[in-house]
Amino acid sequence: MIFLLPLLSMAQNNNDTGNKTKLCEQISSISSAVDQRIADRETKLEEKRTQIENRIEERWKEYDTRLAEKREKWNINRAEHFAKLEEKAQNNEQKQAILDFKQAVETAIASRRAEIDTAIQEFRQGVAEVKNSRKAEVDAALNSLRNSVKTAFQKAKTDCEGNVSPATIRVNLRAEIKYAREKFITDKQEIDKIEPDMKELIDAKKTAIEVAIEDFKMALDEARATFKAKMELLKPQSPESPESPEVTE
Amino acid sequence: MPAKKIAMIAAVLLAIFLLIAAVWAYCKFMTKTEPTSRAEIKIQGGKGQDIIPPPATGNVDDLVASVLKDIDDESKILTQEDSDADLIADDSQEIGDFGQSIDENEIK
Repeated sequence: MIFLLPLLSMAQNNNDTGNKTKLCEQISSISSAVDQRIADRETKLEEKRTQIENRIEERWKEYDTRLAEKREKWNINRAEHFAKLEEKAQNNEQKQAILDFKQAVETAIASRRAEIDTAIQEFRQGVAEVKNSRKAEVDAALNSLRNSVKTAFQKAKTDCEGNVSPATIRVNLRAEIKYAREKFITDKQEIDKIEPDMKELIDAKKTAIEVAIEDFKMALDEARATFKAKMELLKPQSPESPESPEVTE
Repeated sequence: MPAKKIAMIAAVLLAIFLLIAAVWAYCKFMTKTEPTSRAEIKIQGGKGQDIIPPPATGNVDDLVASVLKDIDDESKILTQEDSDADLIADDSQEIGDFGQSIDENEIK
């Protein structure tokens, strides 16, 4: 029986060699397929990124256009209101009081709009930063995945050429790929958490706009009070004089 | 032909004419009211939210009220771009797909 042992050992070795060859061919083929899949997905991701970039740009342009249209509409309306008010001025002093009031209102509006524009620009800059930061994190996670997978396959290929059993090659490669894949999933979960950053930007914009509006309302109230006081003083004394610009308390 | 028959034919013709006119008017109304693209929906939505400026009266309080309405009108736009946050993460699916590029179970 003992004389059969070398034969059995030889048969086992032949079997191992066959298995190893098969496994190593499979590893090589899977490695190429994985490279191709990653390359295809990179193309898709780049397309999506461009699409997102364009959509954000389009939306911002649309907001800007609509905001400009609205502002122009109210500029025209305000000009009409001032024109009507000016029509009722009875003397140069009243005309001057209206001009002063107009100047105060226009300054307050320009200031409010500038503050709002700044808030919008800061918000957009923040959005762009969140987007860029997310992109960098995604790229880092993808690099990590790509490198880990590449290293794992490279090691398996080296083991294929060395004196490592197919079972060991298989177990090691599977473990390394599993680790790389799971790490990528964890990385992605972290990357997806952009809500706190966005909320911070939205809140900051909201507060800046609220402050701008409050400041504006105060300036407007003050301008109106000053105007009314001036008009009261400039009221013609004669009962026959024509009607003054309507100033109601 | 008796007058009664002529009147009946005239009534039927009139009914057919009215039916065609009603169908035509309905089709025209639907074409006008149904937006044909997303862009159109957006524009219509935007216009629908507009506040109409009040007419000038020469009264300072009306002027101030009009200026304050300007703020309300403007504010409607200012919050709209807050939802751009959703767009940033719109590539989440494409990123997640990378995790499916490789599966350890493929190695038999």
